[in-house]
Amino acid sequence: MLTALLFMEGVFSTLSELDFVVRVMVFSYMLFWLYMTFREAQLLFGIGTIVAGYLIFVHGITVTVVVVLWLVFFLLGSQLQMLCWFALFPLLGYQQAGGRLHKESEMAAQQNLQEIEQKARAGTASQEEIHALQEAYAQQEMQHEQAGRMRAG
Amino acid sequence: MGLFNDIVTWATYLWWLWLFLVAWWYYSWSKEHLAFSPVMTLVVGGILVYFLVIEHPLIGSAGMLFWVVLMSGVLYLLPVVGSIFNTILVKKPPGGM
Repeated sequence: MLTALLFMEGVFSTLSELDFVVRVMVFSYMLFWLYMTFREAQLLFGIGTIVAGYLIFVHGITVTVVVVLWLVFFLLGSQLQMLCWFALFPLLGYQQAGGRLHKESEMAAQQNLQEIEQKARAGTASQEEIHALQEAYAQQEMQHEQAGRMRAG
Repeated sequence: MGLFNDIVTWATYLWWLWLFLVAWWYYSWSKEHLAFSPVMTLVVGGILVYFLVIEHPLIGSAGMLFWVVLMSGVLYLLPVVGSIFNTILVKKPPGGM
């Protein structure tokens, strides 16, 4: 147990040292870029250096999170959208049609209801099917009323 | 036992040589990026050599190798391996043509 604790301590001190080293390397890259960019304006180079150093050494984690978010939503945004529409939504049972998402099971239920309606009109529906149809109508009416109340309220 | 002692001795020499190479590589990285300021080059080079060669030589070596492989462009050649594989060991279709 003691060795495990000591080992973890070693790992964490290594990580924190490497965190500092990575910050120094990132700062070097930033300095290089700032120097090339503001070669003709030393004042801007100086101010830029102070700002870059402040951001990297004081708010390094936050800046990294912001950069990662920017990467995901701006650079990889189209891939993200593609993954949602063509991988995630179909897996959840949604299909897109006419610019809207439709739940597959609801579409199947709707089709089934239409078939029963046709049977009822032809007079070939069983007692159970007519019962199911009445229930579906009652449910639809309830939803309709609810929607009307929400619009009014 | 003498043989093994020799091996360990030579491994130690090689290890020291390797550490000098890694240290030089990190210092030249610092020189490349901070050429405009000799003091900055020394400070950053010193920090890198201290932490990545003296304190954590294995991590520093792995980092150097990783960076060299990544920046050399040799990874672009990876697809070639697959295409070579099918040209040297051509699989004849069953039935024979």
